[in-house]
Parts: sequence; structure tokens; C-alpha cells
Amino acid sequence: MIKEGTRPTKTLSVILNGQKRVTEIQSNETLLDVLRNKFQIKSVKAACWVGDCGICTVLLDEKPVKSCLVLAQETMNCTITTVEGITHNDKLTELQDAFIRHGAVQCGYCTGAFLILGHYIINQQQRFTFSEIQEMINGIICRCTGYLQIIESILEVNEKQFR
Amino acid sequence: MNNYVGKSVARKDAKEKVSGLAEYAVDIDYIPNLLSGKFLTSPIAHARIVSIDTTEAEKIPGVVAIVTGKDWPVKIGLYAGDRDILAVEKVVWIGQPVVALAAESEIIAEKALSLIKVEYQSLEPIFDPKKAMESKDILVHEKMVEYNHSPAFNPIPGTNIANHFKLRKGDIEDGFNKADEIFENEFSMPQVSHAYLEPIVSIGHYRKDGSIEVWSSAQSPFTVRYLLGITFATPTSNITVHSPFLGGGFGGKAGLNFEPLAVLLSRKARNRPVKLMLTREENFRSAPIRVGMVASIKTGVTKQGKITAQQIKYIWDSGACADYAVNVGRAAGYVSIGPYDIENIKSDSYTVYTNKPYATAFRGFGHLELHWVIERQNEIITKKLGIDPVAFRKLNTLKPGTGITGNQHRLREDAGSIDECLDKVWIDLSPKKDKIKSFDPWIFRGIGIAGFMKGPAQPPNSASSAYVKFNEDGSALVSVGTSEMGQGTLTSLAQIAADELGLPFEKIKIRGDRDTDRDAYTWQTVGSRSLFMDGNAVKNACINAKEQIFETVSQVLRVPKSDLTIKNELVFPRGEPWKHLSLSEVVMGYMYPSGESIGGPVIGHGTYMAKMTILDANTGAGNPAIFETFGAQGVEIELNALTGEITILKLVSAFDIGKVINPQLCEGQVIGGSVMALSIATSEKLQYSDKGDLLNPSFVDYIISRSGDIPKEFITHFVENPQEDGPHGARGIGELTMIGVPAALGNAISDAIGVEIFDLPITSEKIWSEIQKQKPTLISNLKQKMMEGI
Amino acid sequence: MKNTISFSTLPDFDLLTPSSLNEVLELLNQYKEKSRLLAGGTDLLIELRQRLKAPEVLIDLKKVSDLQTIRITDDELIIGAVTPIIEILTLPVVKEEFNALYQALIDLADEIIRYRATLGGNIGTASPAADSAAPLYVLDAQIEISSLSDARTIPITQFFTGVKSNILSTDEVITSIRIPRPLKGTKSAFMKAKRSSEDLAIVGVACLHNEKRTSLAYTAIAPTPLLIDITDFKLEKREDLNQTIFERIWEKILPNLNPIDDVRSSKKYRIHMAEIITRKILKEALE
Repeated sequence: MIKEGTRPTKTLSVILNGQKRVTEIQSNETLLDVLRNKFQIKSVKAACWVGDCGICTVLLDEKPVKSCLVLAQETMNCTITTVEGITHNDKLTELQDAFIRHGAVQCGYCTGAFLILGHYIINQQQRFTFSEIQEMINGIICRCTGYLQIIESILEVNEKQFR
Repeated sequence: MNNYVGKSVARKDAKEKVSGLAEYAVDIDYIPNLLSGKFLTSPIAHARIVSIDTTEAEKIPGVVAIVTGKDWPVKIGLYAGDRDILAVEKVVWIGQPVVALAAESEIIAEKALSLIKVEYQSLEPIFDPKKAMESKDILVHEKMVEYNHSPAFNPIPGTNIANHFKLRKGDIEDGFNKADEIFENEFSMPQVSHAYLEPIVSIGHYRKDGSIEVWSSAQSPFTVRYLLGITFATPTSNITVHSPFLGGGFGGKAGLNFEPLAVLLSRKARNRPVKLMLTREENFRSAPIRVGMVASIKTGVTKQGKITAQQIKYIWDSGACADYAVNVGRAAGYVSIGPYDIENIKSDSYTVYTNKPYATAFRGFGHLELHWVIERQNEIITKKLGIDPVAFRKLNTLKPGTGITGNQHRLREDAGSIDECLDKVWIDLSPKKDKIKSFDPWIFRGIGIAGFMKGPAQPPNSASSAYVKFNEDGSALVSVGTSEMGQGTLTSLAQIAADELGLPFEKIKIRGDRDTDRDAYTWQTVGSRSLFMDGNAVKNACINAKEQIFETVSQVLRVPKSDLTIKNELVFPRGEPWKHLSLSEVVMGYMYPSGESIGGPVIGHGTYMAKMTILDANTGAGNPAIFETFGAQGVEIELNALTGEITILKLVSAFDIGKVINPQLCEGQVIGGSVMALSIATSEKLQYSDKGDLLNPSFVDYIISRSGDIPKEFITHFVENPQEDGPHGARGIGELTMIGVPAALGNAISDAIGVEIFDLPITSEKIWSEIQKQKPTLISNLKQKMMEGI
Repeated sequence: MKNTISFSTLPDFDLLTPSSLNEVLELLNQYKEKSRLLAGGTDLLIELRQRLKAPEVLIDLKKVSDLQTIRITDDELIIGAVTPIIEILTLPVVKEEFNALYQALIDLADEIIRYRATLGGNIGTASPAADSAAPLYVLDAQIEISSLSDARTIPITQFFTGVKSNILSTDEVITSIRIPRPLKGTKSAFMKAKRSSEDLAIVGVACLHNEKRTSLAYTAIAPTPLLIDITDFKLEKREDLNQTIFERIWEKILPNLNPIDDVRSSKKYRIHMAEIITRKILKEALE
């Protein structure tokens, strides 16, 4: 859907999931809008558009952000990572595999956000406790699973790193 | 022989979902010439529409179509046609769509909407369901009698009562006379939001040839199709409804919602497709929600704990429309006394209109609410009588062969056992109870339990169907009508099919998206009905496919059909596996060495019809449901009496679901459902101003549970008393996982500090204010202790 | 009656991206009230979406490195206004010496938001519920403010002027927050009441206690944060705080509290929770 306003467009260049991507944007477009509408990155979902639900979380320069609260223009020349960027040719990451084995997926609408945040947590190369992970993912809402299996999936992969 | 049934195989859609490939209605933007739809809503709770001026909006370049209620003044709805597509004569709640438009972009649509002028003449609104029930002069729907109603419902003309359901048994006065003690209380629960994460999205395409195509976040695409046909006076065969993966539904996407508006916009927009996507705020204000409830209950009980009489009045606050909620009142009406066998019953369940957002189905469908009433009341009774809570319940629970829901229909002998569930939960809760003492004197521990039952609330002719279509390599596609909204039923159906057909699980395909043209019919994806209904249909379709396969193989192998079996993709006579044909040799027709061929491509079909009866209008007697799942839930809590804050230490659940088809999926339902129920029990409430304006239409003001809020421990038990006519003996579970939680929590609070809570949600503030009312000196004593440093 | 619309888009504006403080000040001087400063965006973008504000330009502060430094000197902790909260939390000295601030920031919104949200933004929005305000009040923070023509440093207690309003004029920007290093042996803490694990504060309370001074500060309980000095009560050790003394302390505090009733909490519960937290936080400070 077309979101843009009436100001002149600017050219946005980013490294999206490892590839340089360029598109025309307007100042009032958010990173969320541009990812979904211009780059067809559909794993990034929205549910509130005001930073409460966290469903639109992506990694911006390797740090998690809620993409509805980031203007697309702010991401000029930045790197952006979404679930599309961590899956290739049927080869799942350990975390994706853990999500499946633990039953951490139900409707799937929040799954991309939890996976990308989990991916970030695991990339910290730091050992976290159950309650630390519980706190780290508190910014994303899931209405189906009750969170337990999501926490356990991240914890399992995190613990494996230190075995 | 079961290779898959009973095992925790991974969800069929898991890979799609973890790779970000699963498509939801919100993702569909590739339809050519797609326009953005947006609607303007009523700012007044009750008013006559004087005029609508769209002149300025029409001048905005990029505005393609503007529609008002008068463009298509047809009332829509499932069981009662009481809802305008856009308000026609008057508005009945704040948030009701009044004018809609389709434009080239969202920003144009928003700009144009701001220029529309609507003039209203205010009418007196009514918000309190108790007052609404008595009111004769303030009516939300003056023309209610003219609406189409499904015959199972009983609206009372000249009132706000959209449905009155009666349950009667024995002689209520006689029952009270036999009682040693009588308990009278009132309980309530507010309207709450489903808060499914994917907002409602409907794309409508009214094509030039008059055919209609819809893509919608709809739980019940076949119902949407059927009702669209009525709305637009066109044959069902003219309509296609696609429902992709749903980002949660929980009942909120079960009825007909914004599909007619999207189609109407497309019709006006010279047949260009139009996408309506609600913002979260619009979803809170304009989309359907859960009913509110107020209940008064009077129970007669003997000293020994036998309930002799139960008299109840439920008032269901359905908001401005009740097209689906009349059935919430009906379902809660026939189960109104809970899972108990009581001689004398008088129960009235009223679904009532108010000038608030309208209600629809929601996981638990009246049962979460009614068990809040029944199981809190039981706690109060057991405390007064000094009887063990589980012993008291077991003295009164339904047993196989006793009269179900009081209405003289015998409960099946294989219906399952609530007593076993109660025992399992209680054992995990009670032994530890007295052992742990807290350091701080203001921290109190308590345990609480609640038993419950629920079956699918569906019409007696509710049907399911399935087909199984084989591919060249012997793999198969299973088609059903059930939608995938997270619950995972499709995976369980694939497990059933794999075992029935002797195929590896990977060789069964079952799509996550629904298409009413392609898929087998099912009535709706609601009421925990799908596994049972569609499961039987799938099983029957597989049997039918096997019949076709055996027909061919029996000719080839020259053995009777009845001797044949399938295992590991091979068809052979029982006991002679060496004498086999592979499925791939048969399922597209068998070719003899000569080239002569027999049989043909195999498509098996199967159906399942609900076996129920219409309930008697005066007593409620009859068979209301295809099964009842029984269960019990309990919690152990820590309560800070100074702040009212509670910590859930443990949540224990037990359900008699007959057969666990997929343990992991079942457990996922239990954890997810009980966390959702805790969220509702402890914080959720739609709050309105005195003008009926919703005050908390966002996730910052309307709090739902996050990862930091979950119980410290979950314990789940499944009891497996199989039901003969269920697939592998199974009964449904999805909704059951919520039902006992609020009452168990209320009971645990009572156990911890002797304070009784009657109204949900049980917020910290609520507990604090009830402690002040019921134990006026407790908090000041504790404050003192706090300073003494004990 | 104005049509109430729930917007799915942001309004039109131009985004300006200065790279030095001087450029920021020049742009502010040029656009004044037609501009809004964009720090983390976690409040501003929401207000824009809801059309509560309609600036012509947004001035993005995130490319100005001067505003993102965080350093500790012998005398003070200096936090650039646009330093993300998460970075403030990683500095060990914050937890060691400025515990009240640490506790407020570690519980500010959620972790993802803390990567974007900034201390200057949290203060600048001037919400009565700004979590960081209470600790900054008890810690005697100073706010450094610049405009093209002037620079000034004011105590944080003068910064808030009402609900969502502050002392900044339209050409000014907060450049840093300076917090003096507390005396040795100082204890400070922050606690807030909320409805669930992630919520805006029903009430927030900060406390600072050392041999010279005992102060309390409150948020979400009046139109602006409150600072209340209770040094006069001569609390030195745990035994000095008993029920009678506390009641006298509370008598001093209570008249200053002026909370609202809203969807999150009633007035009464806010005041009750303020009292319970005050008891707890004082007790712990004296342990």
C-alpha cells in the first residue's frame, strides 16, 4: 500500500539482509513501511504502530529496534536484518529449529520479531538466565503461546553456546 | 496402528512461520489496482444521523469512492441481522463506522476522511446492562422485531433483550426448602478485547461480472461467504472467500465483520479491489469484543454439602449488536449451573444491548464468565460449611449417565470425568500448602481450584467435510474447511490422515490458507469443534480413499477388499506383506503390463454431522453439544497485602480430552490459554467514559500479559477417557484452557487472606480496595509491622 | 466536531540531519516552533502519528556525536542528551554511584525501547511519569541547555513547568545532563508501582540518603515531579525510622501529592502506593 506523503522523494540505500538495496522514500515513511511496502519484507509485521507491541522488531546496525518508531531516512547506509536474512534454502538456524521443537510457534504473527530478537540475544555470546531472557523479550507481545516455549527455545540455544 | 497420533510431531506450518513465509491477509498487496479503504466512525454513543456531507472529500484527488449507510442499507449478522454495514439511520456506539471511502493511498484516504461532515442529533445512551435490561424508553434497536433472527433465539419485543434463554428443572422453591443454608451473591466481568495481534484486514473485490472475491482475516470463511451471499443477494457460488493464515483470532474473527464494507467499497469504486486494514485503535473501537457479564446467583445447600437448588440470572452486555452474542447467552444458559448435577434449577440468561462496542465469540464463550460465578460461589459455600473444596465439588459433579446441564439429557457413559481432573489438580496444589512460610508478614500464600466443562456451541446441523486427493508419487493432499489461527488443528488432522492412510507424515500436505472454492466445507472454526468434527470427516475421507485403493488392488491381487491393508505406503493382504503393490502404483490408476489400466486418480471424501437437538424453549431440555470436555485448574499464589500485588507461583491444569493426538500442541494450548486467562483475570478491562468513549484503546493502556508476567511453574495433566465417536476418542481442548483460571485465582485469594472478590479483573488495586473494605485494620497493622522491621 | 481518525500514516514533514551542535542550533533558530527535535523518537513518532503535533521539520539529533558522549570526571557524571539509555546502563559507575538512576533506567519501557530512547528525550517530553526524573531530582542533576545565542545550566527541579511542558524555549536544546558524584556512603534507589511487568508508572519514587541529606522525589503523582527534603527528620540508622516518625514524614509529603484518576490507577491507590514505596525505600536506605 502506498504510504508516502507529498514531499519530494529521497533515495534510501541500505544493506538489507546482506544485500545493498535502494529505493525512493519520503520523509514520513517509517522503516516498517519501507521494509514491508518497498522491499517486500513481510516477516516484519505490525500490530500497534506505536511501539507497544514490538512485533515490528528488526536489527538495525545489529541492534534491535521497533521499526515503527524509526524513520526510514534515519537508516541511510545502515544494515538491517530480518528473519528473511537468516534463512537460506531450507536451512534453518539453531534458534528457528528450537522454536519448532519447543512448540514456540502458534499463529506465527509475532514469530519473526521473537526470532530476530532471539538471534540478537544469542549473538551476544553471553550466558543468560531464564529470567534475564524473560526480561529481554518483554518488549514483544505474544497472545497465543504464553511465552514459556519462546523463552525456553532461546535459553536452550544460548546454553549450547557454553557447553 | 498409530505412528503419529499421540506423538508430538512438529506443526505442519512451523517451517513456513519461522522462515517468515507464512502469508497473512495483511501481507496481500499484490492484487492489481488495489485501493486503500478507511472509515469514519461515530463520535457519539447514541444519535440520529441528521446529514452527511462528503462534498469536500470528493474533491480530493485520488479519492475513488465514498459510501454511506444509505448505499446498502441491509442489516447483517450471523444469528440476528442487527448490524448496519455503515450506520443508516442512527449510530449506536462510539466507533461505529458511518462513512467509508476508497482512495489511491492511505494518506489520501485519511485526508479525505477529515473533510467529511456528519451532523448528529444526540439521543439518550444506555451503558449499564442491568439498566438496559429494564429500559423500555431507551432502546438501542427500536426495530429489533423486524430483524431476521435464527429460530433458536428469543428476542423480547420492545426491550433491549436480544435473547432470553431459560433453563428449568424440578421445583426451585422446593429445592430451597430442602436446603440448610442459602447463599446469595453477585458477580461480574467487564467487556474485554481479544487483542489478537493481527488487526482485522478485509479485501473486497466486487467484479464487473457481479462475482465477489474476498481475502479476509476470517476464522470462518464459509460463514462469511454464505452471509455475503445474503447481504448482496447473490448465489453463494458467485462468491470466493480466501482466508490466509490468521494472526490469532480467539473468536474475534469468527463472524461476519468488515467483509461487506470492503465489498461495498469495491462495488462503488468501479470494481477496483479495496483493502481495509484496521489500526489497533480502530480494532479496539470498531471491531467486536467479548461480552461483559453481571450475574446474581442464589444457591441452596445442605449441611453435608449437597446442592439442592440453583437460581441464576446472567445478563450479558453485548454492546450495540448481538448477532453472535445471542449465542453466547444461549450457550452460557444451557451450561449455566456448571458441571454439576442439581435437582432444582431456575436459570435465566439474557443477552442485552447497550451503546458500547459490540460483542462476538471469544475463547471460552460465556463459560469463562459463568464458571467465575459458579466456582467462586462454590468456594464461598465450602468455606462457610467447612468442607474440603474438592470433596464438596465431587459430591455434586456430573457423572456419566446423570442429567447433563440440568436439562434432562443423559450424559454419555464415555463423556469423561471431571472428578479425575479435580483430583489431579488438587494433589499438585495441596500438599505444599502449609509448609512454606514467607519471611515478610504481609506476604500471604493461597491455593484455589475450579472445575469446569464446555462443549462446542454450534447449531444442531453444524457440519464438516474433508477430501483426500492423492498425487502421482503416492503423497496426498488433505483439504478441510478449518482455518489456521495458531491452534494447530491442521497438524493433528494430518496426523490422523497419515495413520489412517499408512503414509509418512511428510507425505501428507494440508494447506494453512483457506479458499472456499478449493477447500472442503466446514461450518466455522470455533468452539473447540474442529478436531472432533473435521477429525471425523478426515478419517471418513481417508476410509473412502482406501476403499477406492482397495477396489483396484483387490482386482490386481485377486484378493477380497476386506483382506487388504496399507502400511509404509504398501498395499497388501493382511499377513502377506510380500504380496504388495505400492501406493504410487495405484493412486492414479493401475496399469497392467499390457497397458490396460483400471481404477483412476483417488479422491476420498468424508463428512461429519453434529448429533444434537434443538433445545426446548421453556426448559432448555435437549442435547446441546457433541461432547463436553471436563477439566479443572488451580493456582498457588503469593499475595502482598500491602500493595495488592500477586505472584502466580504455580498453575496446574487437568483436562479429560479423551485422547491426546499431539501432546506438544495440547500443552501449547494449555500454557497459552491459561496465560491469556490470567491476563484477563488480573488486568484486562475495556474502560469507558460516562459518554461511552473507550478510554484505553491501546496496548499501553490496555495491559495484556508479557513474558515477565507468566506463572513461575506450569503443571499440565491430560486424562484420557476416550469418547467412542471422537477421532481416536478425542474431545476438543482449545477453549477449555482458559475457563478455570479466573475462579481459581479468586479462590486462591480467598484462601490466602479471606477476602472475597466478586468482580473481574482482579487488579492489585482491586485487591487492595477489597482488603480495605473487608479487613479494615489489616493494612494499617501491616504498615506498622513494616516499620518495626519484623 | 472534528473528525476523530486513527491514522496509519505519519504526517508530512522534512527531516533535517545536522552533524554538529552548531548546525542544530542554527536550524532551531531558523525554524523555532515549526520544528521538533528528534532524539530516540519513541515518544515523538507516536505523537506525530496521532497528529498531536504537526511540525514542518524534524531535526534529527542522532548524528551529532557531541550529544552522545557519556563521561565521568572527578566531580560529576555528564550524559549527552541523546545517549541511548542502554549505553548509560552499561557504564559500571552508574550502578555503583548513581543507583537510583540505574534502577529507573533499567526499568524504563522495555529493553528494545532502551536501545533508542534517550535520557534527554525522557526529560524533554516532560511527562509527569518520566521515570528518570525522580532519580535526577534526588541526585541534584543539572540540565545544560543551549541556543544559538546563549547557553545555560539549570537545576532539573526548574525544568518541568507542567504536564508535558518544560522550560525550553523554541530555539533551545538540552545538550547534557550533569550529575554531581554523590558523597561517599550515599545510598540512592528508585522504585515504581506498575500494573504489570511492562507499564507506565502508577507512581515512581526515588530516594537519596547520606550523612548530610535525605531526599525523596516522586513522579506520576503531580503535574510535575516533586522533590521533598526530609533531612530535618534526622534519619541516620534503621532504628530512627519507626511508625511515629514515618507518620510525621508522611504528613509532610502528603499535601504535595496531587495525582489524577485515570485508566491505570485511582488517585487513592496512587497515594497508597506512594506511601508503601516510601516506607520501603526509606527502610532499605537506612539498612
